[in-house]
Amino acid sequence: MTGNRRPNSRSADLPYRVLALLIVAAVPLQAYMDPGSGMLIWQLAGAFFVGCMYQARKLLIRFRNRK
Amino acid sequence: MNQSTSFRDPGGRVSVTKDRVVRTVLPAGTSNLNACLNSAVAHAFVEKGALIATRVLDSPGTSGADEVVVEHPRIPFASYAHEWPPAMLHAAAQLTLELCSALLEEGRGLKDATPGNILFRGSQPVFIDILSIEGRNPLDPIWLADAQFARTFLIPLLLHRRTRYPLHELFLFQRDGIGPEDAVHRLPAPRRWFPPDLGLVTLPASASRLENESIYKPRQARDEGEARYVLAHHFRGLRKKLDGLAPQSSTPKTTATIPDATRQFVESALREINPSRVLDIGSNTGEFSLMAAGAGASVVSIDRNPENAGALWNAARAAQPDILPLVVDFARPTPAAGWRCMEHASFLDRAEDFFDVALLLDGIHHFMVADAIPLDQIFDVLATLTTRWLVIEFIGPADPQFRRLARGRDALYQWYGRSAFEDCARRSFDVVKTLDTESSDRALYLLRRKH
Repeated sequence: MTGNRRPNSRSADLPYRVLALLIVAAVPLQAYMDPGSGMLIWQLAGAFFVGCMYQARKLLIRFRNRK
Repeated sequence: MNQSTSFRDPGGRVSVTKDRVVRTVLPAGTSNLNACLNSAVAHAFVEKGALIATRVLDSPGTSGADEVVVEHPRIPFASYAHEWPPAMLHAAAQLTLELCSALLEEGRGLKDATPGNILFRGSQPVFIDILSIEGRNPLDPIWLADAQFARTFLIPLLLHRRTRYPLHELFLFQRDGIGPEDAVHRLPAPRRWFPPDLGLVTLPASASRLENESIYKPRQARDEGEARYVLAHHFRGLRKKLDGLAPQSSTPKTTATIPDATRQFVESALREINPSRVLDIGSNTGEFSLMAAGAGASVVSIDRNPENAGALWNAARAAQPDILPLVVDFARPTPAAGWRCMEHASFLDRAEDFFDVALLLDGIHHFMVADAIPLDQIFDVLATLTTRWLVIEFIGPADPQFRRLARGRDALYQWYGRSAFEDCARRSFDVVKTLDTESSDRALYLLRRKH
């Protein structure tokens, strides 16, 4: 899913930053947060991994068909 | 009553009158209207009654105006998430997800995902917001309404599962449900670190700390197949989570058995009246609602207890009778809500003169004693809810249930008895038939409204 994106360090790091949060406890937030941002980030991370899975599967199928 | 109930969507507005629902689709909404009208999936959902039917009345081609006017069939009695038991919220979520997944196959989707898009026809959920259906960018692998789906369906259902959180109270004050940042502190501490709580609430709550503008920029997959694969995978995951959050079947709190004489009196009254719309007040186990639905009536059943309403919804859903069970307290009915208190009409406004029969059985002592509502006012309100008939049970001060609620305050009810009851009833009703029950200080009345 990242094919047309600029190699922006922030967005490229996003899945890893989300993973890093696995070890961070939820702390009360004082500032206003967009109520959808956390879910969106989580969905983006999921989409990144599932997109990679899809491309890997596609490659595998192409490789098998060549054999 | 004319309710103009829709103003948030820039694509159109809806005008609801007693008999008609007319939607004016503005230029910003015509592409979504076409997405719906041209969708085979939408047609299939209309066929099975899960999507509201749409008939074009006036289009730019015929009138020269920019707006398109369409009409929908009227769902007989509108209800809102703040009146649904958890099982109904779950059914609304299932329909939203089912529609969204099916639309994906033809390159369409839902732009939002909220209980406000659903009404119930009897016990069946119906998706009503046709302008929510949109054509998708085939390369877009992200469902933007995902966060709203979580806030308004998944997280409330999760909170209810973990803490018995009263969802009807939540939606009365929180139109947009509850986000992970607020929900995380309500979940029990150890549980929030395990699935599905972890992925639904804890991690998204933590991830919101990473918010920046870049997360909102449009994403594109490498090809359409990847985008569809990612979304289909996402919807399957949501379905799995939703299935895991199905409310456990509710056991009605009240399990008192109904005397045969009472059952026969109500059965015979319903046969004579042959009602088309029945309001069952304090429906408890729903036995009288099922009886009225069996007699061919559309029934709205109200009970202050979500477990009772949930159990009745499950029973109605299984047998497909026309019953809409709602979590509404007759002594404290749902108020008008939303912007300027005009988005959601109050229960009494919706119910006024809507029903031809009201049933109030084994309940008046709760309103008189526990809620301290004067008897004459109870009859005044009942007279606004039924256009013709009232089947009501007199429960006198010597009745054990009455005495239990009165808790020794018998002196307060010295004035109360059959004659006082009938005096109050006769202000608005004529007595047609009565039946004295043998066991206690109770009697059944069939009353006809005077005006």
